[in-house]
Amino acid sequence: MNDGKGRPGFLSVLLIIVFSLAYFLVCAEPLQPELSAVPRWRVEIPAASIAGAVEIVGDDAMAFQAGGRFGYFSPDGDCSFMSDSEGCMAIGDSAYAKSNAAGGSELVSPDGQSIAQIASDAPFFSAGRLFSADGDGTGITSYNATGDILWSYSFPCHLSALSAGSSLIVGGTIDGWIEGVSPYGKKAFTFAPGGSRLSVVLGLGVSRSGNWVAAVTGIDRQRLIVLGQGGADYRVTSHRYLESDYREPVRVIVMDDEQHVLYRRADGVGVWSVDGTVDEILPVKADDFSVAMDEAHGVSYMMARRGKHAEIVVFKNPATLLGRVALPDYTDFVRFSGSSVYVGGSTWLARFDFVEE
Amino acid sequence: MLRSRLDAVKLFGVLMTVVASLCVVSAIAFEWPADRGVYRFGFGALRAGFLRGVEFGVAESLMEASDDGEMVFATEHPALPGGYPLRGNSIMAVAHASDMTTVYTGLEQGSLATYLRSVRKGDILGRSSAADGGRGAIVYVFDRRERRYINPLIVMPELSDKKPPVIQSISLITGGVETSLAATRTVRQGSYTVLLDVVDVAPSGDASAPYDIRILIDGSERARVVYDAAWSLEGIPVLFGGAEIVEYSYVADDGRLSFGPYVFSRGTVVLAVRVGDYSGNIKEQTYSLSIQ
Repeated sequence: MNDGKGRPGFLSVLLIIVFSLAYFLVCAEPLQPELSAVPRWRVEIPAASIAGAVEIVGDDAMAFQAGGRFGYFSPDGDCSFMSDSEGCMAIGDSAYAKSNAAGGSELVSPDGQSIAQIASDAPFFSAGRLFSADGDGTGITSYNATGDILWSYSFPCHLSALSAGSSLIVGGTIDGWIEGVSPYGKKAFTFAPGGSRLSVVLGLGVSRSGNWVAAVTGIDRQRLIVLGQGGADYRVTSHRYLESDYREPVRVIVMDDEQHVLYRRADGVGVWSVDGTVDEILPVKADDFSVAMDEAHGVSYMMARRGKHAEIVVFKNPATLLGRVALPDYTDFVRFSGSSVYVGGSTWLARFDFVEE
Repeated sequence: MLRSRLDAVKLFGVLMTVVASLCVVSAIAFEWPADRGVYRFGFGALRAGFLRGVEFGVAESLMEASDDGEMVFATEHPALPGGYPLRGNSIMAVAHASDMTTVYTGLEQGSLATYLRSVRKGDILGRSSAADGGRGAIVYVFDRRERRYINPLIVMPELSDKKPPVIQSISLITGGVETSLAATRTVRQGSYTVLLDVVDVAPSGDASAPYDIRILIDGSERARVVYDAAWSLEGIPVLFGGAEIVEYSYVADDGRLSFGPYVFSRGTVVLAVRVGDYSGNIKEQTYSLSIQ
């Protein structure tokens, strides 16, 4: 009576069970950790100026400037120096510059000690280093930590974009050229993207390593181009035409993973890879943004600003949106450090951390 | 022989510059963008460096487009996204069909017509701000083909000017020792740099820059600069189309203009300095120097 007809059915069921087990054991992905923003502290900035009220040791001093106030604070929320920002021309973690009586600026340490007098009245910090704008917008001068001039560089035309990496400073000009400057103040490369009816550089970003330069250029039509270092020169590694028609500065950032480029679009923040294989959009409308990677959690944080509104966007590279945290209106100051976010306005500072729960 | 060849080359450069300037004039018909051309500081005036444009001084006056064109870049933020501060907290650039771009800075925040795309001559671009640190609104004229700033006087309508430039001082300097020719006409033989303090009165009455400076020694033209263009080469600022002088070597720390060095041998040397403005008014001073 047993003619063997039941064996194929049994084998099928067995195969399904084995396959299912294998799928769950081999192919399953771990669930994304649930990130939560946990408030750590919030402090009111004293109304009266305080100088050296709390001594912040070493590299812990973090610069702050927003809403007419500037100063330094520690990760624990201790304020070291807070003053009205009138007269503060630029601030970095190692020093700030204020106007002096000679029409230039004075470099001052976070503890209020004068470091040097600088002839320029247009100092600024970028990538943690002190520079000044010269030539009414066509030049740049680099300084060391003690305020000595390292080099000066003159661009042929007014700058419309500038980005500084650790080993490369790149300027974009109103006539549409991109010019790289070495750490020693020498010309590293020049490049004219072209490809548009009118040439102009609207925004650019350079990677921390200096190996990649991304730029939004031109009018009718606008282009996103990525230049990669090849030997002693930089060459186009990828590009795409854009639908935008910006006539104003456009934020462009090469992320610290040296893989992805973020750029402003009308319909969100564009995500592009340096090799052109990724072309996605983060659905975050922003006039301006900054971004930082949190390697501990494998995610990235973006501060997206639109008018008076600002928010923190958490995403996984390249463009998987994980969450958003709205910030109070008129939040002028946002700074990322690992999994911590420091935010502030004219009267307050606060910190919250992203933690897995 | 070599010197005469060099002089010929320089003369050719100057002539070509003048010809190019005349070509530009014939091809472009810009209008003064503000204050009917009554500017405070012209091209070459020392305003935190060699001014590459023309600076106006009347606050809250309207800045108009110098010619038809297309607005390519404008912002009212005090700095570019990379943190680079903008002089006067704003900048606007209009590209013209003539391969020229006019750049306007120092316009009052909130007044810039950032909505403009196509621009017609006379369109209001913004309002000049109250002087920012003593600086007013500035217009620059940039030649996109040559990638250099040109003196706006070359392309703007000519202004009435009957006053010649003023030579305020002439000094000779060697080995750190300066000799003013107002004090003595006797110097030791050697190599000397000529330092000039010259100004031309701007339409506003302020001390501005001349257009043409010549140094003649014993009747031979040894140097000539025409304030026609400024650009940069390999990151170094360069001035004057016919002369190509590095800005740092031309403008001394105290703002005086440097020429030379020239070797003065024993005997008598006739040093003449001839300074002209764009309208052709000329001021010349000649010194007979006794070289010992």
